[in-house]
Amino acid sequence: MHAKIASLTAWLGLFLLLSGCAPRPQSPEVVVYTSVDQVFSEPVLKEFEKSSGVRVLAVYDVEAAKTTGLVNRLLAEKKRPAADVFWSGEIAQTLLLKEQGVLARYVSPSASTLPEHYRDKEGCWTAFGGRVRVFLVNTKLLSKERYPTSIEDLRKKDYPADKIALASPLFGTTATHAAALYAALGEEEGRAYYRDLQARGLRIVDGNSTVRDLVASGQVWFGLVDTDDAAVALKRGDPVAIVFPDQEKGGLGALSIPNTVALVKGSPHPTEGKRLVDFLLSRSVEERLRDEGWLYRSTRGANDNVVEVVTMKTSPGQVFEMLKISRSDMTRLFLR
Amino acid sequence: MKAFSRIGEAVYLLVVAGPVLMLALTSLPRAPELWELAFPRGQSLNLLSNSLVLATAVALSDLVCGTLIAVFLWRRSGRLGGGLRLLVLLTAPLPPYIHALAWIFAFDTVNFRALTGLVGAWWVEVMAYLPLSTCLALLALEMVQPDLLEAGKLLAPDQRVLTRILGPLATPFAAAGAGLIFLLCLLEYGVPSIFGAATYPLEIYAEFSSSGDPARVFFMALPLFAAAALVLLATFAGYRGSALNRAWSRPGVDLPFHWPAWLRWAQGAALLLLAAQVIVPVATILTLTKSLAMLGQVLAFSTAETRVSFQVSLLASLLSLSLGAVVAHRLRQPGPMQALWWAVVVLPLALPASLVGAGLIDLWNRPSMLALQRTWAMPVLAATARFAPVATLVILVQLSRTDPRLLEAAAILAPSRIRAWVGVRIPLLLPGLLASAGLVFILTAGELATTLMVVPPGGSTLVLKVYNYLHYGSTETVAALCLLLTLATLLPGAVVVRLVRRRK
Repeated sequence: MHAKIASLTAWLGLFLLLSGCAPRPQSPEVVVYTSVDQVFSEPVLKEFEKSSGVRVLAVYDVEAAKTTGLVNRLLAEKKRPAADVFWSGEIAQTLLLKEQGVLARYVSPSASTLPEHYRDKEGCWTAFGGRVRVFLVNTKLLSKERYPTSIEDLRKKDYPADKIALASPLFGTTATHAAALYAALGEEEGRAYYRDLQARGLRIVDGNSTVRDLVASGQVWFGLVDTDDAAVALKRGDPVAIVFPDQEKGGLGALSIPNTVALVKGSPHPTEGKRLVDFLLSRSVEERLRDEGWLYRSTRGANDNVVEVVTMKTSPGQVFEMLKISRSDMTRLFLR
Repeated sequence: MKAFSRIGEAVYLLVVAGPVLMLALTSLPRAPELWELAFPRGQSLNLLSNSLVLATAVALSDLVCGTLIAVFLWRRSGRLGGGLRLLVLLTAPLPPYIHALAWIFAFDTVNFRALTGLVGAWWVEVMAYLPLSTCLALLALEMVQPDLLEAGKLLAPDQRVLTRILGPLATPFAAAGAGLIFLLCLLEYGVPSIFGAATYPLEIYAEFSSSGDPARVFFMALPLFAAAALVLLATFAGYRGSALNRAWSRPGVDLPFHWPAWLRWAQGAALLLLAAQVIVPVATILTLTKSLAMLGQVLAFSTAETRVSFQVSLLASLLSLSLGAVVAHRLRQPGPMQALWWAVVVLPLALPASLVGAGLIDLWNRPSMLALQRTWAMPVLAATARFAPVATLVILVQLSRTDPRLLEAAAILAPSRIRAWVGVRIPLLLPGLLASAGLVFILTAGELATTLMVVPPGGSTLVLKVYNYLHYGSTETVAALCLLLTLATLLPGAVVVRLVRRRK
């Protein structure tokens, strides 16, 4: 008789379940998975909806999922994709998706004005803009002449290790930064660099936003973050300053991580997907994202209000090649 | 009726065990290449031992604290009892990650920054799971036959009743509760990550993030799976025996107990901890929310997420409840399949959430199921896959408390089956049904990793929104969203507590 109770509840549950499953009215729509912060990406997608009449259905990634969210969802859905477009806040995950055959070839007309190295040779992704890895310094705790100027400063004893914060290099842009340093310095030198950082005992924290908040609250003197994290602190009026590392002549340069946009292979709405890709790669969107603080610099046109930055010369392909090696090292060094 | 039961069991296998089976089926052919991942060595072994130590410490601490609080609440009725039960529920829906941020904020405010590493993770997880452990301990105490306690009170002082009757009889159920807490902690990666504690799930997530290969992650997760299964099967062994062999009992008279001084002191300390685990997150949230206007604003732009979170949690509760009732009934039937059913119920509890998400997509992303893919049915199925086993175990406890003679009498005397069912069975099972529904509701409301894998495009839940704003550093919005989450979960919680009290 317990089964009776169960079955009645099951019918009730099924009814409620199905009542929430009514198909949506047919209208042109596009599905986008994005790891760009919702506060920045949502207004852009709304603008596309308004201008194109195509309804945008977005899924936003969260930092706390440790970059296992949307990329793994795309991989799992590979046989029957639900998404049309992948818009990433960085490049490493996009290259992984390309390697796994998740992305379709599409050369957007909007990409014609972008530099060649921002376009995948096989047309599977296009990059634009850039978030830069920078030092965020607490201006109350460090005078200007003591600001760090190079990533080498992270291993110098001039700064106490517990007064420097770094996001876990196992995930996100900090992991990409590690791979870029491996590519730029060479595998051995890159490994030695991170071994030194680990031996020093820097304060390794959960994510870039935590680094930002630790610097802003004065618990550490400085830390490495992305420019969008730094922009939030500046906007809040926190006592912080941004320093671009390695800007001297002939220096290594700061790592600039572009956004990437790609069409998903076998997507359900390829036509609408292409329209969204074209829109996202337009100059106006890039400039808007720069003005709002998500991007530090625009790839095209003038960057009047920003400091010109010397960036690292590593290509996305070189970074991706190093990613697996560096990630394995980072796990060994920092997860112990 | 048998047909209905078989259908229910089949649906349970499909929804709850299905994702595990799909992962196993796709991963096992690669065993020759990947089997080494299932045997962690060196650093990985250290990480695994860290995880086991942390989960054990949290489970034991919560077992002690939760039991002390539960003993205090157990025979306490009236406004104080109801109010305290509600207080226990207050912070239950907040994910452990939010608890961690609240504690860090609180300690930073008083310049106490020593809470790092495994100790920090232990403290926050003990606090975050204290509501759940208290509820489970209360259930354990409710399971003890009142006749035995009454008889004991006639023959011996209360302290001996406590140590000789109440303790031994409640222990199997309390141990099962500790097993569940152990499992939740074992799979938790967010809190250790915040405190810089190196644990095995973080290595798994690093691998998943790096390779995106579920098969590799499946093999890496096997040691966790094995550890969790061992602990659960060991802790539930006592529960299993007690639940299956226990004779029914009539409701007892609420005789007052006079506990020894040492127990009252210990209860006082545990109640202080309970107060701290409520005050710190709530005060932090209220401080950061700053004004009611902010709450109003957040409510205005989060109406859809609030509604959806509520619906998903409610539907997952109902589905878990109905499937749990069928399988709990099945678990009571002795026979060769009983052990297998126990494994089916217990093992899905031991899978990392992202893997469940990958398994769900593997299982449901088929041409015939495309209509399902774009709907909120997927998060409901995801939550059911993760939490229906919890509902099953709670309902099993309730079933073993039900007087079979009343059920038989109802079956014979009631004019119709429906009358017997509505008039007798549901009222008799109601506390267990409500408790299991409430637990699933709370756990679903705070679920992140699996939901992210299957949330329909264009939609979001409150928890997803919280994490989105968390990264942006909008603390006021995050605090207001957390307050909203608490209220949205507390209201049904209050209804459950009220109904249970009225039923009693």
